[in-house]
Amino acid sequence: MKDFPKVLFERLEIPNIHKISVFQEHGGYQMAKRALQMAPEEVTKIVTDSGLRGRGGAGFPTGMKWSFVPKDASKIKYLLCNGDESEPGTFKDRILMEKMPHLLLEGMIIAAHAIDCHRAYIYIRGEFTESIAALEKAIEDCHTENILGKNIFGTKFNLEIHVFKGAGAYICGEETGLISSLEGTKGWPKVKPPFPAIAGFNRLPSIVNNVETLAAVPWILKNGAQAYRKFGTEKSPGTKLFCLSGPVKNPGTYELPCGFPLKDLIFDIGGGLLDDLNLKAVIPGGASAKILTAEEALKTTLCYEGCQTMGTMLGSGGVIVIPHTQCMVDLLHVVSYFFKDESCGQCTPCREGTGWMHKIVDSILHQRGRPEDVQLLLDISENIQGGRTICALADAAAWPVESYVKKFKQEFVDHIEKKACNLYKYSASL
Amino acid sequence: MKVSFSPKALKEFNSFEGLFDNPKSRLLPTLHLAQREFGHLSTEVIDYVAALLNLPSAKVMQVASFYTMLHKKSVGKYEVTICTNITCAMMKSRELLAHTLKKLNVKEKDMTQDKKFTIRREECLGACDKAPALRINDTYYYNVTPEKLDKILESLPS
Ligand SMILES: Cc1cc2nc3c(=O)[nH]c(=O)nc-3n(C[C@H](O)[C@H](O)[C@H](O)COP(=O)(O)O)c2cc1C
Ligand code: SF4
Repeated sequence: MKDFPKVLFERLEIPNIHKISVFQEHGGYQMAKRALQMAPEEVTKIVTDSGLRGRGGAGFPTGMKWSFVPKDASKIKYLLCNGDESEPGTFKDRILMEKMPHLLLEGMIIAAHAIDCHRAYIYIRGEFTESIAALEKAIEDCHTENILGKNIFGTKFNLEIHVFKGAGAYICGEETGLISSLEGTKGWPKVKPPFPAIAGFNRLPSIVNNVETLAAVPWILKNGAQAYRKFGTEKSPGTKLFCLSGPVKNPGTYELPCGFPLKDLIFDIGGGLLDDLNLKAVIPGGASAKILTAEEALKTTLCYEGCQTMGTMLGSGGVIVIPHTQCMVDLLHVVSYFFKDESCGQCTPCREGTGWMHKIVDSILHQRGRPEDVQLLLDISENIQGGRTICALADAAAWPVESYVKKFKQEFVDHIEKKACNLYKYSASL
Repeated sequence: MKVSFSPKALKEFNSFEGLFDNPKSRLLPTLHLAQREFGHLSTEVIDYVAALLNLPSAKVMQVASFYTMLHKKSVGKYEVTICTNITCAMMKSRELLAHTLKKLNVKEKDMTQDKKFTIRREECLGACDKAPALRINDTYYYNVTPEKLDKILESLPS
C-alpha cells in the first residue's frame, strides 16, 4: 500500500505513545508551549488559513468558528470537545482518544488559548470506557507535569480539562444536545440562533469541536497552514480519518488526504469485498448520509465537494460497504429504527415522522405493504427535512429513507407486489 | 428502604462540585455514581439523588429515563448489549441476539431467572470494523459468533 501523508496518525504506531513521557519524547506538547507564546488571534489565523473544517459531520471551518467567540475578557468561555461518536459506521474518535489522548489534549490546550478559555470539557459517550480511562489518566499526568492546571509551562495561562461521561443517547452528539446534557437536563437540542459560540454551555460562549478536528491542530501549528493545504483539495484541505466497515477484506480506520477516490479505499486499501460478494451500494459518511449505488460510488471522491456532487455528504467519514446479497428494505428497516429510537421527541415532524417511516418500512418488510406506501415514504421524508425542526436529526432520518427508496425502488415494489425477496434479510421481527 | 452513599462514594460526589460552574451539571455524574453504588436507579435512589442535589425527584427521574445506560429496574450481574446497527446487522448480529435470548430463555431487557444476565440490543457501539460487536458490562467483544458468545457467557462466574 502506498504511503499517504499523516497528520493525525503520524505518531500512532510509536509504542506507548499514550504515555506522557513517550509523547513528550516525540515532540509532544511543544506546540502547546509555542502557542502559549503567541497571541490568541495569531493561533486562530493559522487554523483559519489552513482551511481545517470540522470533522464532526458538518464541515464548518474551524478557525472561523473560533473567531465568533466574543473577545470580552470578563466573560467565561468554554471549549467542549465532542467525543460522543455515535453516528452509525463511525469509530475514529475512539482510536484517537484511546491511543493518542495527549494529542487531543495538546490540541485542546491550543484551542483553549485561542478562545481564552480556562475550563474545558471532553464529552465522551458512556460506552467508551477505555477512552474515558485513557483521557482521565492523561489529564492526571498533565497536572503532574504542569501541562494542565495553573500557570501552564510557567506562563500566566490556566486551564482545567474535565472528562464528562455520557449515558447512551445519540442526540447528545448534536452540539446543543451535548450542552443540555452537560447542564444536567435531558439531552434536548436547543433552537439556534443563538449559536453556542455566543451562548452555549451555561449560556456562555462555547466552542464545540469534534475530537478529530482538535487533534489536527498541533500538526497545523507545527508545520504551518500551507503545509496542511498541500494535502487534500482546495475546498477540503488536509487529511481525514475514514472508517471502513462491512464485508470487506481489510476493515479499519485509515487516514487519507481529502479527495481520495472512494473506489480505491474500498478495493485497494480495503482489499475489496469478501469472496463471492459484489458491491451493491456504499454509505459514504455514516448512517445519515444518502446512500450511493455501486456505480455512483465508483465515481465519488472523499471530500466535502466530491460527496456533494454525488448528492450525498462526507459526514463523519463512516464508509459502509453493502454487498449485492443485502436486501435494501431490510437495511432501511435497521436505519429507520435507529432514527425513530433516537429522536428526542421535541419536534412533531421528527417524533411522528421517524415513527411513521419505520412503521411503513416494517410493514413492507413483513409482507403487509400497500402499493401507495412507496410514495408515502417519499412524502414523509420530504416533509420532515429542510430545516423544519430544532436540530438536523430529522434531516438525517429523512435522507436514508429518500435515497434508499429512490435508488432501490424496485426492491420496495417487489416486496409489496410479490411479498417475497430472495436477498439476505433477517426475517424475525426485531 | 432508605439508601445512602458509602463514605467513599460520598467523597466522590463531593468532588463533583469543583468540576462545574453551575451545580446543576452534577446530575449526570451523580446518576452514574448512584448506579455504580446501588446497581440500578430505583425510586428510593432517585429520591436520594434528588435530595442530595436539591432538585425535585420528578426532574431527576426525567433525566434518568432519557438515557439508555441508566437502569430504572434491576439488571443481571452481566448486562450484554449487542449492536444491531447497520454494519453489525449485515454481519448477523440480530441472529446473535435472537440466538442468545432463546438459549437463555429470556425476553430482551428482562433478567434471567438466576439474575445472571440481561440481554438487550444497542445502537452502534463504534466498533464496526470488528462486527458484530457487543459489550458485557464494560468490556467489548468483537467478531462474535453464536458459538463464541455461548462460550463467553458460560465462562463468566455467577
Ligand atoms: C443528530 C446529530 C448527531 C451528531 N453527532 C455528533 C457526534 O457524535 N460527534 C460529533 O463530533 N459531532 C456530532 N454532530 C455534529 C455536532 O452537532 C457539531 O456540529 C460538531 O460537534 C462540531 O464540531 P466540528 O466543527 O469540529 O465538526 C451531530 C449532529 C447531529 C445533528
Ligand atoms: S429534530 Fe428530532 S432529535 Fe432534533 S430536536 Fe427535534 S425532535 Fe429532537
